[in-house]
Amino acid sequence: MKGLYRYLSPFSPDQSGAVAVLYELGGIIVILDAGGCAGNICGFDEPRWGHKQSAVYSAGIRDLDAILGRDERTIDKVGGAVEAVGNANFIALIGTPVPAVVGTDLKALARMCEKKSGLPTLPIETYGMEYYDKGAELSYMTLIKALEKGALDASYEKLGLHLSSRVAAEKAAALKGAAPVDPRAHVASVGVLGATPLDLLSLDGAELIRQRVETKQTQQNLLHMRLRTGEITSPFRHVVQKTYEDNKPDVYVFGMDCGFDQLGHLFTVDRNVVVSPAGLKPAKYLEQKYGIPYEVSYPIGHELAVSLHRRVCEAAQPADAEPAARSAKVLILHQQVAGNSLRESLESINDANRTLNALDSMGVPGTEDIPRPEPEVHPEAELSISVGTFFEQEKSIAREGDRKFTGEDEFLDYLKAEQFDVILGDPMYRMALKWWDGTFLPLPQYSVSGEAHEALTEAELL
Amino acid sequence: MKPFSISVKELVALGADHIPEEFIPACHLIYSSPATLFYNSPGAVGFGVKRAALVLPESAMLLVAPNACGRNSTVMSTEEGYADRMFYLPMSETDLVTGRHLSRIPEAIHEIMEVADPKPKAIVICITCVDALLGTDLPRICRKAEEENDVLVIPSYMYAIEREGKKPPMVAIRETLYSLLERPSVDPRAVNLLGFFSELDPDSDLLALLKGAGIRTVNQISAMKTLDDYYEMGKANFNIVLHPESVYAAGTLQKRLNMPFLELHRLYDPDRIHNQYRLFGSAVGVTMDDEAMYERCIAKRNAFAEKYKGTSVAIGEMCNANPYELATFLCRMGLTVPSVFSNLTEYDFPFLKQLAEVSPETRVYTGISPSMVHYEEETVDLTIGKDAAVYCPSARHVLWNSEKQPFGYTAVEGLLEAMDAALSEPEDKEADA
Repeated sequence: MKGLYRYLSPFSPDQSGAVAVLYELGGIIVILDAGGCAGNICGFDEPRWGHKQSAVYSAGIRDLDAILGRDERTIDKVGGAVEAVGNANFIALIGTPVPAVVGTDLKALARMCEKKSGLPTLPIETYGMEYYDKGAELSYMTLIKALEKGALDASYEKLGLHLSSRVAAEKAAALKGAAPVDPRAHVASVGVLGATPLDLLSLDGAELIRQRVETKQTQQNLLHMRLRTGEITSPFRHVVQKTYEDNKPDVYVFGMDCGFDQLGHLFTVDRNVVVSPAGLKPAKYLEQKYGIPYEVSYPIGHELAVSLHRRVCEAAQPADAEPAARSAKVLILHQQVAGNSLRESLESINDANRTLNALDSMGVPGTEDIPRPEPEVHPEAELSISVGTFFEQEKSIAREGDRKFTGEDEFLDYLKAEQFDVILGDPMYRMALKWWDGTFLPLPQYSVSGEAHEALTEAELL
Repeated sequence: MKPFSISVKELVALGADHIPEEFIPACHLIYSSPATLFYNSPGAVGFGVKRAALVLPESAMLLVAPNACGRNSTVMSTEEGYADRMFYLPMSETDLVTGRHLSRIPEAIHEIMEVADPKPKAIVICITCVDALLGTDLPRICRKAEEENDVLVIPSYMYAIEREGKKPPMVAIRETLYSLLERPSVDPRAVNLLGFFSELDPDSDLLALLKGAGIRTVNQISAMKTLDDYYEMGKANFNIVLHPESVYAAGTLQKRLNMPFLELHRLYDPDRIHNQYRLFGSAVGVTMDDEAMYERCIAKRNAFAEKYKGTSVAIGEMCNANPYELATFLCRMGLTVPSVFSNLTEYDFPFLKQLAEVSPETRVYTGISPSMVHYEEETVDLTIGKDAAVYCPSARHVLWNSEKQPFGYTAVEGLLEAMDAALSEPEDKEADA
């Protein structure tokens, strides 16, 4: 039956994604619910909750509040929390099914809260019926628009900062008629969009992404510098080190480990890296309006990719054939960008190993008689990899055969039809795969199984 | 800024009719700290509505709700082993407007009956706040589904929106659980224990005392393996209510099946336990011979008091105890309780008054207060309760929230042993009792 979930259970909803983006920004986050939604968001979708404090509140809406439309009670309660918290940067009102069903005008409610409390108030119109990535996208866009309008300027000035609207306006004005950005220009700062705990392969992922983006961009900066100037790297180590340090960009992972004071960099970074579909819409917007180019890529650790590639090749069929004659039909289940990037890593390792194995087998002409050690066999197989997701799928970065599932029935039909040899995905998916006898490799996603199968570190996945 | 707190003495002076607004959820936003998950998410910790409903033997649940409402089941059902009995029919925005989701319930049940292994004999339909506001007539839908499928279909409600109402979700689900009982005959030597969704500690003196008093059968719904076993509960002479949230269900059974009930409280002061058993015996007309148990408990209490006099303890509400009654017991033993983290209702005032006599300066914090965002750790030797452990992480901890329900003298002895273990272990701070 379409829509019935017999084996899987609900994934993180939009309201959780919305909170994930705002969690570390020092705002008062008000979940407009009766209590259960706030408990679910904090207790089941927010791994930072136990160790990183944030002012997350439930509005504690009761039946008569909803039926009689007693919004003034919510406004009074928010006012009380603003006083109790004392130094909040903003208020965010997070929609849930309850305000959705009674048709609460969140924008109007936000205006009234703002008027009463004097704090900028962001309405995040989630309904609890979409998945987390829609909510995260909504939070990013609401923040960007609020910064553009200068709605958060007062909070910035309280911190002694002067960014947001003026920078945005200046940059937008300067962009008009300007030449396109030189792809070889020095990149001093990079923004990462779409990184929340719900998107990552492991919970240390934000820091790993930051490090990998920094390393990759530093290397690109060095390369571009050499291309521009023809400069050859100095043989002296301290000079090399200094040159490397000079070319390191600042990296801002918007959504994790990034505070309110750094939000202004949304408009000032030289480029963006989008690590999940939740970051795509804001990246496109920032490119269109402010000329900030972006690339869509989740930086996968080389060690992880090698480990997964080895295990995929071990599962390739027929098992008794030579490695080069084996093949594996593989499905990666995750958010689309992580899935795509992992696929590219696996393919790239596979290609490299094939080349190495071919070279090893050829040997050096004329040395056939010289004894040599048995060459190392690098794992390889004929791989056909698809990426599937229950979350948002951007068509322009999907390959033929990739799939977005609208429900469990569609998911199961697809798997039965495709007969994959290997599936990489959150262990919770196995509950729907009892009939399947392929190889399942765990690739957790917090928005699927939460803490039940969480990977605290990427090392756990090796 | 400081978090709101108030001394026990001040609370008692205000009285049950003037409980400060900080304790009343309707008066302010409800803070979500790790310690308030118990309050904020009725379905999140231990037995929420969904897991509680599945205590009904040979049942399965169909949750008909927005995605957001079923999210906690992802983790809970996996960890607690009821994933195979949970099914979901998520609602869309269109469903919200058209009510289409309701017409799909019979078909969903038909499919559950095809795929579930083992095949359930009862399916509990659970709806949430959204349907409360839409005015959904779930009993009618259940009747229709029952006609179309050869299975019992039972309505249940996870209405967080009615949390402070006459019948909050955890009260309603207890009523639902016993709604199938009939009373074909009465077994004078059988009783039901109502209140917990997991079994009473088999070592509890209550079970031994009931046997000693001539009660041959002590029924607990959580111990029932089949629906037929469950129906046997209808024959019980009377019900013993061990948790106040079961009073409503017991009242319904009294009215509907003429099955009387009486209440027993989970207490930690051995003198009060002894007195409670004595009163119970005279009310029912049996002898509860607990002298030996009482003496043994007193001896253990005295030894503990001697060893740990002056030890400071913070108590939370996420434990198998009433925090105010427990605080009074500990203070009477010579320990100190500088803080209690708990919400408060008028029913707590008898315990509060006793606490005020022995420790008037104990401060009561309510985890739901918006100002708790400013709470800074207070130094204590030991915490009891999962929430107190969050507030005072540097202390040693006794969580005392196991699902095997402690009751009576054995509960006291078990708690004292757990406290002794935690206080004696310098390295391992947490006695996960």
